[in-house]
Amino acid sequence: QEVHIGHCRVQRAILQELWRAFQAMKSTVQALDHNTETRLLRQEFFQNATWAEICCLNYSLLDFYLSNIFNNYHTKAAELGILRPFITLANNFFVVLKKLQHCKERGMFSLSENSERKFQLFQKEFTKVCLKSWGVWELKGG
Amino acid sequence: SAPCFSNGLPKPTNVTFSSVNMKNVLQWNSPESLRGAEVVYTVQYLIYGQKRWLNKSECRNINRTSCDLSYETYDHEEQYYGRVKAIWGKHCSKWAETERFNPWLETQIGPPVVALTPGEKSISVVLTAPQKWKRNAEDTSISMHQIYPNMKYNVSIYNSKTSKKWYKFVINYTLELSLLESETLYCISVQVYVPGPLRKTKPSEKQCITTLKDKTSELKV
Amino acid sequence: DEAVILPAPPDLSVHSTNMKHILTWSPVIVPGETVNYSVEYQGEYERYYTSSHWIPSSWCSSISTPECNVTDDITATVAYNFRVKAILGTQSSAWSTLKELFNRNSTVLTSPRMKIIKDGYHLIVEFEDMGPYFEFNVTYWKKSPNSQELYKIVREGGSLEHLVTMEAGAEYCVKAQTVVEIIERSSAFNQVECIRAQDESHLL
Repeated sequence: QEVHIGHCRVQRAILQELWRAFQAMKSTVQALDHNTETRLLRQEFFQNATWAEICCLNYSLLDFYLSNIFNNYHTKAAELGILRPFITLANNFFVVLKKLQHCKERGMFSLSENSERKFQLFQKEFTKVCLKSWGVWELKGG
Repeated sequence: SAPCFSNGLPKPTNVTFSSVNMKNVLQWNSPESLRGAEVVYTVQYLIYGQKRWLNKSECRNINRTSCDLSYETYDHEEQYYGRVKAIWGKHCSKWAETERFNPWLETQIGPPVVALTPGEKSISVVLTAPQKWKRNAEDTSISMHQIYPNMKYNVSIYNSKTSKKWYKFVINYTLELSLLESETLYCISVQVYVPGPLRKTKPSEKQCITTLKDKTSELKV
Repeated sequence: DEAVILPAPPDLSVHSTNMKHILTWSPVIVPGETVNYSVEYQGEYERYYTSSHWIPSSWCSSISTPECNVTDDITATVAYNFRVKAILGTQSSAWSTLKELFNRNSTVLTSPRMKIIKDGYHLIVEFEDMGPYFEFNVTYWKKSPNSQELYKIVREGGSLEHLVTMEAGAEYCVKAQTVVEIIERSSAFNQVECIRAQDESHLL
């Protein structure tokens, strides 16, 4: 009934909630992504990572999403009519983040240089993609 | 193929992937206003995260409205786009694209193969997991169970004498239904269940079988 | 300012049973008038990251009854806040909010309604359909000296689920509780029910 992200345990039911919300907004959000030549996250992101690193990478990703994506696209989600699944994702990400927070506080996190570099590369690529799509958005007159 | 002028020929519509057990077929509707005209189509596909659209040579200038891209979309951990344009003489439409297609998430998982063997008061049910589409006939089969390890089966059993239908969740491939009523018609159908995201699954065709005559009752009469 | 005279709806609270959450408040009475209400909510994410955002409730943007089914709004096991204002024509009251935030893990879980039937020697159980969050933890045993309790999880209500193939003439007993994994809680067990399998001779 549980899923293990590294040493941290998350109920399967929360993942079910996440899946439902993702599937409810997937078409709308992906239809807006015209930058099909960039795929930021892949399975390889966690390859060769220790359990503690998987925990830590998940924590960093969730925190990054909550602080940068959900934070900035709340109004856009309402305009697109996907606010409900959007909020479900955000609040359930927050639940998982808090669970992983316990692991962080118990010093279970550790990031190798390789994983640290991977996450920084992800952040850099994300910013690049974001600026590019924001630029296109501006060109189209917003 | 000869260049064509993309000048407002209407695009194909409803361009989607139809996928069962990872057999991924791109399909579309012909443009409304060109129905009946000698229109042909050309297909391309893209692996999400890569730069170039790739041609599907067998689907260049075709007149059918579907194209099997199973070979090109075989890696179910990748995600894909398909697109098609209509060509009529020297004129062609713009490309019409699919949504991003994720085979792992969106393929419909077909039913298992169900083999029933009747006993006097029992039916033995043997299930064979659906198989992933194969590139070559001689390739070793990959069971969908390998792709979805937490896959289960929901077996429905209908007793025609009592008109009761009940279900039994099964994890492995065999199920022995014992202490049934002899000489009774039972109908069985099996549907795959995979926890996680909502998935399309198709139940197996209902199979009906009659339990055998109870030999011990003959002795006692 | 005219809007100020319309009082904010008092006594806001959430009543939750079996993951169905109802927000209620005391009505604002204006003789001869129909007062409407509008409901908004915030999850923990909104409070923590975007404290300005309040989200309109799914079903209660302009309603005349002093209650709102907010089940569809609560989609995470975090603390939620709700606010309600009264509306009369162009006038709106101030917002009133919950005194205590609401988390769905406080919902009251009742023990499940259960039906056990037999089809020949097969003991079948059926539960009411209580929605997607509910599974049923079933405990069953053969009524005989030192018999062993067995357990089974039934994943959803609303269908007949095979429990056990009974021995001829034996009596079997069943009890069950609901399990709501998303809030990591279960209900009390329901009343034990027993049923006896027919004797072997019956089938000959």
